[in-house]
Amino acid sequence: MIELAGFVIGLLLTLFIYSYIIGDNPLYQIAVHILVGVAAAYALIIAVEEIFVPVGRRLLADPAAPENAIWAIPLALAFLLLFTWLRPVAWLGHSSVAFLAAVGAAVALIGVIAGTLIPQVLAGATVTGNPLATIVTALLTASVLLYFQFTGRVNPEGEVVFAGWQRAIRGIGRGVLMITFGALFAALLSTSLLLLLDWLTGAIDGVFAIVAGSIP
Amino acid sequence: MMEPIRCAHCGAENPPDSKFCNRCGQAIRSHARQVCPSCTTPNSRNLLYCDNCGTRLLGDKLPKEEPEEDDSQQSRTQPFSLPARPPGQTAELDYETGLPDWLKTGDDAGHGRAAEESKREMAAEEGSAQEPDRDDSLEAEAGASAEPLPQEPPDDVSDEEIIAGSLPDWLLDDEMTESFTQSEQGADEEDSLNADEEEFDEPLPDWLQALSEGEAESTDTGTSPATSAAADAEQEPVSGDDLDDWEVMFGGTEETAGTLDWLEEMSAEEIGGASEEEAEIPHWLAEPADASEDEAEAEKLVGAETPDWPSANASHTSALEPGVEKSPTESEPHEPGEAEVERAEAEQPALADEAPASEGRDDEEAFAAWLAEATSQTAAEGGAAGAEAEAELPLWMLEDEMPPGFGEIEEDQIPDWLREMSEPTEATTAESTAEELAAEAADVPDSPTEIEGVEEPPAAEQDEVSQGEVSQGEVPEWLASAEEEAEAEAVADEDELPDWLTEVELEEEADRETEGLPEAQALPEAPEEEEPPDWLGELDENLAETAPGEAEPLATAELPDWLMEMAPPEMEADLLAPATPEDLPVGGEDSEAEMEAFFADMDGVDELPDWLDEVEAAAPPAQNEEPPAEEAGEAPEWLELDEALPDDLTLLESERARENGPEVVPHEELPAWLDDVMFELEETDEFLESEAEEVTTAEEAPAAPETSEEGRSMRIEGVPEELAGAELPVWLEESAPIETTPDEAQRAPLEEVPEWLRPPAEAEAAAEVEEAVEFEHSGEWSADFDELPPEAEAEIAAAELQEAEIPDWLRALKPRALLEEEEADVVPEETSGPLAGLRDVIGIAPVVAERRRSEMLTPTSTSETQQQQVTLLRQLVRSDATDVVVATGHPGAADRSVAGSPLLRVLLAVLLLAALLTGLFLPDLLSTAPPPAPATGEVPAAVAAAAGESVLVAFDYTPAMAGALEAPAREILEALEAGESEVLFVSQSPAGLPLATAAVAEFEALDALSLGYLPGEAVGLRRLASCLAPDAACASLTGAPLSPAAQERLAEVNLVVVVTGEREDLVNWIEQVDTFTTKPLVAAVTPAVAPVALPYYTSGQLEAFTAAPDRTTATETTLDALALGHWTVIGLLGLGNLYYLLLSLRPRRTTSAGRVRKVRGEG
Repeated sequence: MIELAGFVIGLLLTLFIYSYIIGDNPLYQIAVHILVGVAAAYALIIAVEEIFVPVGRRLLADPAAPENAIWAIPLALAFLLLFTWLRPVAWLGHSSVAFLAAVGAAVALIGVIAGTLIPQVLAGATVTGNPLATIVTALLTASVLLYFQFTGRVNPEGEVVFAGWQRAIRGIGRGVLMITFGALFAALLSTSLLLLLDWLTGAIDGVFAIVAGSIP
Repeated sequence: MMEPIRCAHCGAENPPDSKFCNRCGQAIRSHARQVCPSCTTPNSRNLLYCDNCGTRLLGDKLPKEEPEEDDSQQSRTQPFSLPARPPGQTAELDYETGLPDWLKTGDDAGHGRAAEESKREMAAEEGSAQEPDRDDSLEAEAGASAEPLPQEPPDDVSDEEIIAGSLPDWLLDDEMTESFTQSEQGADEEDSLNADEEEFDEPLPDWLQALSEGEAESTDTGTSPATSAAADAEQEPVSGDDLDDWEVMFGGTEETAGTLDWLEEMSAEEIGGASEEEAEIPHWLAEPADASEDEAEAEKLVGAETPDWPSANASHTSALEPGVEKSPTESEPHEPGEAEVERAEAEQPALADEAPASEGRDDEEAFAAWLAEATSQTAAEGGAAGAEAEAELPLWMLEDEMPPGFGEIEEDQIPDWLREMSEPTEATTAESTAEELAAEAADVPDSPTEIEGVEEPPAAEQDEVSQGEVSQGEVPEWLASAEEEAEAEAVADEDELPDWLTEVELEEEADRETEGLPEAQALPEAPEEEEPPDWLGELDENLAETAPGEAEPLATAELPDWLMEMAPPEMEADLLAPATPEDLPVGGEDSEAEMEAFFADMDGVDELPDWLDEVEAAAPPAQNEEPPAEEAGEAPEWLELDEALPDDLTLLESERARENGPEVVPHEELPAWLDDVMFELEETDEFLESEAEEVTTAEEAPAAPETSEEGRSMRIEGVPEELAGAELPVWLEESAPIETTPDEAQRAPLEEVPEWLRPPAEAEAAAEVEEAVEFEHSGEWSADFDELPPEAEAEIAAAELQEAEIPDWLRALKPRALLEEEEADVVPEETSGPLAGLRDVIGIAPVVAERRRSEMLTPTSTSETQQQQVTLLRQLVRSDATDVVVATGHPGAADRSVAGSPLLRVLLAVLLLAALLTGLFLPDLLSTAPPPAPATGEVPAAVAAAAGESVLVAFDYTPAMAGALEAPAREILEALEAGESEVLFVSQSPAGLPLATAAVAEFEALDALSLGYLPGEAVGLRRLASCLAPDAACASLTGAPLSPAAQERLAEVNLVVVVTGEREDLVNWIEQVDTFTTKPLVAAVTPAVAPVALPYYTSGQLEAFTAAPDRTTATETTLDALALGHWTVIGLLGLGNLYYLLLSLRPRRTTSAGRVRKVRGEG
């Protein structure tokens, strides 16, 4: 019975989500809100249960212990984030945000360079055995990186003007991004269609089973 | 805040909301406000728009429908002239309105009305069919409509009475002269009026003649001539109470050279044998100049030339101070004679009608008449010379019958100089050398009875006069009373008392104290020793050189009593004290303080009457001729002051005009005596001629500018613009000291310019300017002053004259446009705070209270592309994307819809769904071969290789990806269970942790430990990677303590399995964990992430990965449907691109770059 209820609820929520085809509607919003609300609430519970409660216990158990006291720093930074809601003292939370952004960027940068750029370039030259592919990969990667450079000379009309070579590289990088995003979109579309097919298959099987009386 | 409203009728100020004058009862609305043409709301004149409805008020700038506006304004700019009527309209003359009130009543407020009424009359006469002026004429019209002008005088009032009430006394004066004579002949008043009516025409000035003629014509309509009524009014020459100062000057106080020639002519005709030449200049003034003439003859004339200004002074004093008013019977202790009483009774009613407070004039008249009689008698004793002297007297002074109270003049009321004049006249038959005159002058104060007709005052009164109050005892009672009244009024006292007199007093006090002479002893013991004031020192020295023993006693004796009277009591004795040479204003150069005192004196000197200069100019310089002491004594020494300080006066006057112009120019602020005296200096005959000319000109061409020579004298050139158009009173022209120039021809071009505006053209004057500036001013402007040429000084003086306070009556002559500008410039006074009463205060509070606008840091500029992007983003955020149509602004680009209509989307969804269903139910529709499987490696093999070892499994997928990833996840868990591996599972997604727990729970034999939720993404993974090190001992990953088993397994992990549907998760695992550890990494991803995983698999960073669904049977069916779905999507995308391609070929609909239009329903 629970499975049947779950199936029906899942079917309705899915239809609600698909109702977005005809535009934004309350059913779609209800489904989205339920999904977001449940996910956020669950994430909050998980964060509190998995992060704050254990840290608190450690600090309360033995605050003087160095291995425990060091956890007060992230806890304080997390507490300061609450001040971002209060405009007069929002600057207190800015330090935490800055810390998170800086550390995250640094870690990601290091990981990208060490885990993606260098291994992929080296792999293109060594594994595939085609140096041109490696050079092209490096140039395309550089062009994409240069595309995100927004610093330039401002003309009298107020527009940021780039040099000719910069515009060329930026164009290449823009093309690479479009192809990449196109591929990602196609893969996402394909995945979605696959999921839809899976859902349709399951729905059809379920209907047939109900009709056949196989489902209790 | 509304300003008080000044009544146009009486000049009184009324509250802003007053509808009727609180003083005269006249309607305020019609006089002092401008009525809105739209809503008829009365508005203040200074408003341009109606306060009620906002309609623009017509004001002075009206008007096409009021064409006489220009004429009216021109009339304002016309030189001031007395009212006149065209000959043909005299029948309409109304005596109540035909003559201005100031002519009828003589009050100061009437001045203001004079111009307005004159203007109205002219406007009415010039264009009766035209609508009056919006401001004044409209009001006049309103007043006329409300109160129609009577065409006929009231029946119960005779024409004579009306005219008597309309004309000022001074106008009646000459008439009275005639009627007075006739009244002596026994004619009754009515007869005398009729007689005067016939005789009046000849001596009248032109303008009066014209008026008289007009009135004569009006007799046809039953109106008696105005002038005839003047005869029965009364015979008083002066009515200080009723008349304004200048009027008093005009008619009642002329005493110097050039006064009322027509009056003198009348007297000459009546008396006969009068010498016109001598009549021009009073003999007692001419004596110093004509020292070579016969002294005996000159002395005879002294008495005849008794100036009128004492009486004028008295009259003016009484006029200023109504409290001084005294009737002859009340104020004078003597009893009038019968003839006098009769005459007084005849005069009183006429005066009482129009001047109820004019009894004080009787004193003046009595005094003046007494003087005339005395002089005429002495002249008769003197023979022919006496006759000539009589001819010089004004007519009213030659009347045989004295006014009431004449014979009652007390001894102490006679000024010294009058005594001295009487003394020589008595001694005309005897030798009158300087020594004798000096001795006589010394005796004069004690012998007033020598003058005929003057009764000796009671001895008690003489005793009451202390020796120390000799000068005051010489003052007549009416003067003394005037002084008391003047003292009562501090302001008037200060204004009337020249500063130099005060300075002289102080200095003399100091001198006497030094000499140890008591003030009480100095005067009675030796009046001869009384020295003139300091400013007379120079002249005194000259006299001393000529007659050392005679000049000094005469000097003080000749000090005008009116000056003594005006001086405070404590000062009078000082005035009589001898002056030292150091006290001379021009001689003090010792210190800066003295210079300042000197200039302070000069400030007083500037109040000296201008007629002194004229007298001086009329008489040749007397210094070189060394007149005898007697002559010097006869001629008041202070009359020669301008000789000593002519340039100084001019200089200081010019400086004062700049520095303190408003104190000089305004009529009201002038000392009364100075005001009076200045008026006396008016060349009455020229003025009257000019007035007659004005009348004639106004009748002929009212708007024509004044160009006649006579009219030229009535104008002041070089004055501010607003004053230039109006005709200024003569006193304004004469208010400054006249620079005496030997060559009169040089003065001629400057006659049109007021004296005090004339530049010191002489180098001497320039030098004195420098000296004066050096002495008095060490300020910054001194340099500028030096640089300024004389013309510039005059311009500055004229410019600053604009800021002077103009009397109301003069302001009435000012063009209204300029008045409005002036009113608009007036800043309201501060009403509160420490700056209360000040104007032009900088408003700090509003600046401080003003809210500052925070300066936002904005981009310097934005391009059109940026603006388009911003606009698009805003619309995407605020509205549904389907409603947005963006104009790209690029040439050739078409409007692109981000999304289609709901119908289109439903259609697309149905098509896609139909394709999928078709693929499911018709798998053979498309014979699609399955694509070659990518070289993903062998995930199961890698898992199996880690059997018995610690394996870390990451469930980084959410329930949305659970349908695609649960199958590979279960396959991996089955392999791990089968290999009896120790499992640690973790998730970067909070929602992935329950999915992992649920999946792990399905395998009961699986030894699995949870590491829980791993936050931080890349950072968290980096932290986890650090714990995967062989020697790492991580007791906690996220703060939660790890169990020892978990710590042990974590340290012994040999395989990392990542099940994720997100690219970022896969990359982070590869970059942060695989890169920094040597642990092998395999992944189970969705087909969407497979392209991302393939390079890493190729590079060896991924040990293996899997992306295909695990359900094989379903895969075949799904692949067919999926392929059909892909083709459907490709077909739809192709159709869409073709559609937009066709749209792009159409003409663009965008109007301008960057402009965004919302076109609903456009796909």
